[in-house]
Amino acid sequence: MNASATAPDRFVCPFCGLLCDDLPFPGTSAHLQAACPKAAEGWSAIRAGYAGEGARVDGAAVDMEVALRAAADALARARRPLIGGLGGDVQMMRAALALADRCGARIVHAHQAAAQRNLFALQGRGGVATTLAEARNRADLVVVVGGDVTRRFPRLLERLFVPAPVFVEAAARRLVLLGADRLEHAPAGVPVERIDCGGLDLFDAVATLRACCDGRLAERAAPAGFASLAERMKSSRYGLLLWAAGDLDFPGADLLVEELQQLLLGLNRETRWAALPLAGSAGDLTANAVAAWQTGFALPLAFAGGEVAYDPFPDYRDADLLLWLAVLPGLTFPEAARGVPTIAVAAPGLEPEGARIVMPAAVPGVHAAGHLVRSDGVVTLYAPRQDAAPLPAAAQVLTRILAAVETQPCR
Amino acid sequence: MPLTRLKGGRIVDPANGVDAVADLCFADGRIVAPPAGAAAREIDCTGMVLMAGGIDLHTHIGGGKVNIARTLLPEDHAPLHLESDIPLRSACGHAATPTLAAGYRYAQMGYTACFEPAMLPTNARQAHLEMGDTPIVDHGAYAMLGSDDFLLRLLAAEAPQAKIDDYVAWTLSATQAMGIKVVNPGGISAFKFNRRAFDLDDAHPHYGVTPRRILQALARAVANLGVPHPLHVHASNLGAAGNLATTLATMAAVEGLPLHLTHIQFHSYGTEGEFKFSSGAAQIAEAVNRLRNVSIDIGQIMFGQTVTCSGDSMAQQRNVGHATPKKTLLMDIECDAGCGVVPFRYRDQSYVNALQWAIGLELFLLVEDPWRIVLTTDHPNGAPFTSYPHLIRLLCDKAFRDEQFARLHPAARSMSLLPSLKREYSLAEIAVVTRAAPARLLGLADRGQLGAGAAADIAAYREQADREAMFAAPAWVFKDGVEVVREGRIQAAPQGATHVVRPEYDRAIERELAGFFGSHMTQAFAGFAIGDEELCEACNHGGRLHVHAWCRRA
Ligand code: SF4
Ligand SMILES: [Zn+2]
Repeated sequence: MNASATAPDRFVCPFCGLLCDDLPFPGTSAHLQAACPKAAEGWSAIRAGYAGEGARVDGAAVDMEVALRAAADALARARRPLIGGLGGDVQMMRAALALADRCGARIVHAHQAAAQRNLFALQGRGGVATTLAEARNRADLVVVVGGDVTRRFPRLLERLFVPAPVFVEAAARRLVLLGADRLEHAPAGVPVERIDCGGLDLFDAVATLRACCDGRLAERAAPAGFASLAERMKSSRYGLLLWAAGDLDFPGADLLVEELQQLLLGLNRETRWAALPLAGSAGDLTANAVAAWQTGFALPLAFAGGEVAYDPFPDYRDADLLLWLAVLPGLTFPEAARGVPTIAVAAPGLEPEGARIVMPAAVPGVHAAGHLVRSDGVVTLYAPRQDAAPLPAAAQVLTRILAAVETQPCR
Repeated sequence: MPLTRLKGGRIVDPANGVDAVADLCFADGRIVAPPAGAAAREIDCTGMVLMAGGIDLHTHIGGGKVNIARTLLPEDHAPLHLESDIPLRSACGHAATPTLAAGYRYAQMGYTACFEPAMLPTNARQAHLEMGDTPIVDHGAYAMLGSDDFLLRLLAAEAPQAKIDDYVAWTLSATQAMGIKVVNPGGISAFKFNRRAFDLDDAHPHYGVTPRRILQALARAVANLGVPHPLHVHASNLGAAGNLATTLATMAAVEGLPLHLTHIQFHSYGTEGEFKFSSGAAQIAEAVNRLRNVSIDIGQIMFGQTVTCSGDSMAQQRNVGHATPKKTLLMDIECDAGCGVVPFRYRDQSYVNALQWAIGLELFLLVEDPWRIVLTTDHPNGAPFTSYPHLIRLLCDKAFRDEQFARLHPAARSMSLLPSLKREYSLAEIAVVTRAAPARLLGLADRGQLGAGAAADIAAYREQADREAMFAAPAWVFKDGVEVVREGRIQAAPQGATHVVRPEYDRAIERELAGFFGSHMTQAFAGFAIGDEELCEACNHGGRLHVHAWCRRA
């Protein structure tokens, strides 16, 4: 814990990838409810002001040291360990990778499937991306594709549309929904239009729109409104495509993202367009960024015998031990992992059910300072500590487990 | 640490004018004058050439665009089986080298310091976190300015130079940087306004300022602040046929102020010949030879697969069609800059690529003063840094060079004067362009040389006629006196230090910046600057911070 990083007047919200730093530290959930439901939900999931119980083994309270040893023993004995969850900060991820390397573990983020939709598309054909500030200052036409992005990122449109834009007339901005019926958190003052897909599924709708933009399709062959949308997109000076990969939960969604990126590359031949591709959250971008810079690969990874390899579809059922890391809320525990013996390094309130060993750790940005990567993948924020709870950072716990593993005989 | 004596090697230390067989001693991480009597440890270096640890002053080792490149190319990362006598972390990689592999591989080549040349201020945290995960080597970064809205606004408002100096100094401190780089001055911003080309005297579509003005303001600020490293310039018109004229004009634009032109190979193209693409090396070298304020690094290309990752989104948009494999990522970034990542395969049977290869070597051989030229491939843009030993052989061995030249596209051969250049680099010249010159250009007084008091960053190479083999695998490498490599095998992987500069400035600029963050940005100004403790955390709590001190000049 880093005392000097305590800056109670500055709060970086760790509860979704937007990392809002314009809200006061939530003293009460009620206060936060008004600002952002997702933050309120995160806040009530963790126990801030925590002063309570420590580590547990088989339900019994034990010294942290005992739990660490038990965890190290279990890891050293495991033949196919898997490190999962991965909702945490950069330091946690660094320590998790070091431990996975030492133990020959697989390692995967709980929301990897969502992140992979964007990743596979990137690795297929690339794309065009932008960041929050550019989007906020420039976008004159914003097209939201698929579901309601504000369900996962409640303040996204508020942050894009409420501040006065710098390079475009505020009144000239338009928001178009392609696929979603409505927005739960639409900012006031921005006209929202909905384009009816005319019975096309989302992939066909996007492909048709792209064909319209490329002039490959006769006007009458597309649903009403598509041709004029394409015209507006082409005459926009800086357009923005928004989607949340977490919402695109259907087979082949990465191909849809690829189609969206191809649409952008095409539009950029004449004008400027970019995407703000949002993924799942709960630290997925942070986890993938650290994995990529250390190993070259985004997650999931498999370490074995001094080698690391990209392991795109790991199966929890193959694991004989799960080390679940959860110091950010919002992780979904995988159904396939139920029944796998589980050890958890988790913030109080985020322990998975049935974990044999539980070691409590700090929520970055609440009980400890931590680095988190924002949804645009560019800005990393250092979330200061807010609260004096006696909780170690997850990285510290993992580093101690690693040290204990290293005293074990090699498998 | 007790005294270590490296006995009987040939010390090639051009910074101190030394090229002689002698003992080299160090204790507590520093070189000491050889004392009489026995040392605690004696190492026989007979037949070896001892040089200071190598210093790469332009290598893309950390930060957003490199990480995009890594992610974009899973097919690029073969497992690396690194020779080691200690447990290492598993590593893999080739072109877009991951941090662990980069640190290990640099050390195995005798390099002990690496500088990331393109750290975007809004991405500085990530860059430091990545460099912190790059083992063994010291590191530092140049903060990228010149397409950032704050500077462009200052220039559009004709702010006084003192204010620009303050902003530059604040940027250096806030981002924990070692220097300032400008990439396609103003052009990355102009691309956000849909401009596709931007030459030295073009007016910015929104701010009206020209690249010439941006260059002058930044070069002046760097000089006024006493930052040791000259303004690091990636000039306008990267990669475009005929850009030689822009490059010459860029040299003239700074009116005698110190200027470092990076990866100049990519900026030395004429428009002659059947394919309207020719070598401008002779004209560029003539200008560099004449202008004592100018230093360069080459950005040599090598044939094979690599990935280009540049802050120059405008130039990279032009390259989308050349991507191999066919994927490209372009990005606009946070009122700051942008980037473009385009995988690329340089082919010796491509006329343009073959000539690029020859142009780089022509420049190496035509620039007379080795103290103003640094060996780089602009890793990974021209080639991965692991090709340095091969490049050294090309410089040292005319016969080998001719052999390689004979394989090139015939039309490219007919357009290059390379065969007529008889020069072969001496070992002392290699020591200059790979350590002494970059140390001097960066203001690293105690690196890049082996005088008493210098850091004990030492590489001992077994002397061999085949310079590629010689420089690929040093017999010994010491980092701050710690034995990190022996016979190519890693012995220790300490955390390297971070090098930064911190000029003073008038803090009034921070009020203006706070206002700008409110009106333009999406994070609070209060949390923007990277503190020392945070940097320490980024460096896994194991590194050191080298603050290069100087006073602000009047
Ligand atoms: S949008 Fe996300 S980061 Fe912002 S307050 Fe809500 S949960 Fe926190
Ligand atoms: Zn470069």
